[in-house]
Amino acid sequence: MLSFAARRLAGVLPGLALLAALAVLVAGDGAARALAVLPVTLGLVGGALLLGLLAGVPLGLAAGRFPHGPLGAPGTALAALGPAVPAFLAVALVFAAGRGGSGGLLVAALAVAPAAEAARIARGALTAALDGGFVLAARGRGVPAGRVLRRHAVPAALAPVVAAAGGMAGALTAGAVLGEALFGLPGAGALFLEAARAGAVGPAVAAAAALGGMVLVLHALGRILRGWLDPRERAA
Amino acid sequence: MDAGRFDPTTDTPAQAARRRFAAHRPAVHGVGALAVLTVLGFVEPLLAGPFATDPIVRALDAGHTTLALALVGGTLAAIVGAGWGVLAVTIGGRAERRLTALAQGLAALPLALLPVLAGGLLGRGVDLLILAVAAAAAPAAALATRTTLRARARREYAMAARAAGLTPAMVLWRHTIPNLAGPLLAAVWPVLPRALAVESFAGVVGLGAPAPVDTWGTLIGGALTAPFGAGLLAPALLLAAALAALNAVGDGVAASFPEERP
Repeated sequence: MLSFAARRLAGVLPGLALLAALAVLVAGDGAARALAVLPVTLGLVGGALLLGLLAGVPLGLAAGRFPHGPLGAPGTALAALGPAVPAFLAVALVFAAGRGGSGGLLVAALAVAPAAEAARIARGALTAALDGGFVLAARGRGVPAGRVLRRHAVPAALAPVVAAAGGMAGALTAGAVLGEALFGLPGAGALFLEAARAGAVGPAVAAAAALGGMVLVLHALGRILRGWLDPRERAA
Repeated sequence: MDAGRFDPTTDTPAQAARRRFAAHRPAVHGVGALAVLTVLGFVEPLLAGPFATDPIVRALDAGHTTLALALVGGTLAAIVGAGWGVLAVTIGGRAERRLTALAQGLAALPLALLPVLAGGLLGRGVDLLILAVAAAAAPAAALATRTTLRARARREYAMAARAAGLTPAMVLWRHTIPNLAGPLLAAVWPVLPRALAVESFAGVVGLGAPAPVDTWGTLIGGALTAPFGAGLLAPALLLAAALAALNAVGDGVAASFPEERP
């Protein structure tokens, strides 16, 4: 597992090096400033991702386990809502409704899109896992249904959700950029937008590179978590 | 007969695909919603006189421009992405791995920032916006195309053609691609909602289509600076409806060309 994680992290190093070189070449000292404010954006994106997964995964699993029952209805509704409300739109609506607000409110608004995406993936993955050969084999060996669900089907369904976390982080970044600007948070997103609006090449490219690097690392972490949950991923 | 089932005695593959699509209720509703959005844009000039400044009328007016930008940018991205994927599979070997790795690396980045960066640093213009939107959506289309081609190139007809002595490139152009038009459409369809979202995001932050061109994104961006967010709800709801409809149609197209043999 450790070697798998090391391979995954090593895989993003060339991309990170390229982004760092671009930022330093174009922005010079501006690269350090972008890195200094990146934790604000990382906190927003990471917090929203965590909140979205914690809310969306159980609802999606319930929707996959009880597709036609009332227990599955919230997850089904959330999964259907997802594509219609990208993160930046949720942020705009929440900002307009409250004319500002706290960072917590912004994180909650950002969490809507990953929650919906997690619910959609978890629902489909659990449905597929419950139809899978390994679940049938376990049931054939007399393993109780509840244990098959906990030990086999749910971990298999969680693997694609965490693998998609990097993609969710990429989509969240646009929402974080808008959110930081609207809510007055001093993050890399706000720096990027301010520089882009002013036509300042150096700071804009440096902030974009910092945001890109952050998403690349989150991507790698998602793939590592997938490998931890799904041995087939480590063998691939 | 089951609406989603292929009957080789009566159906051509195209007929079966059409029937599967018609059986996908959300996709049919999505087509209806897109048709309504398009028609409402034609009705808007009748209302524009007395209600020209009404937020709903302005949002309806912006619908055609928004959808056209997304359609042109998305189609360009689909063409570039599909070409990228086909090229990778045609060449094969190490070049395919490198082209795929490049697409994976780019697709992992937050490419929605690209039109914003382009608009801020190179100046706002519709042509530049379309190019930036296409560049933001193309890598994902390339990956989807390559995955579809690789998964379906292992079919028996392709193996038979290889056994008959055709080169991999000839098999690809004579057999695989003609059989893959539908699955490829399903693979690249998500670039349309992606292009719409990316173009709208650029408009919301004030670096999308230049004035006086109104899009849903620019209207939302303008409403965010207005007192009480006046005028936000109409373009936001229309944007959400269009995104939901495009995604639903994409799901229907994917369901029309299932992975298993018919």
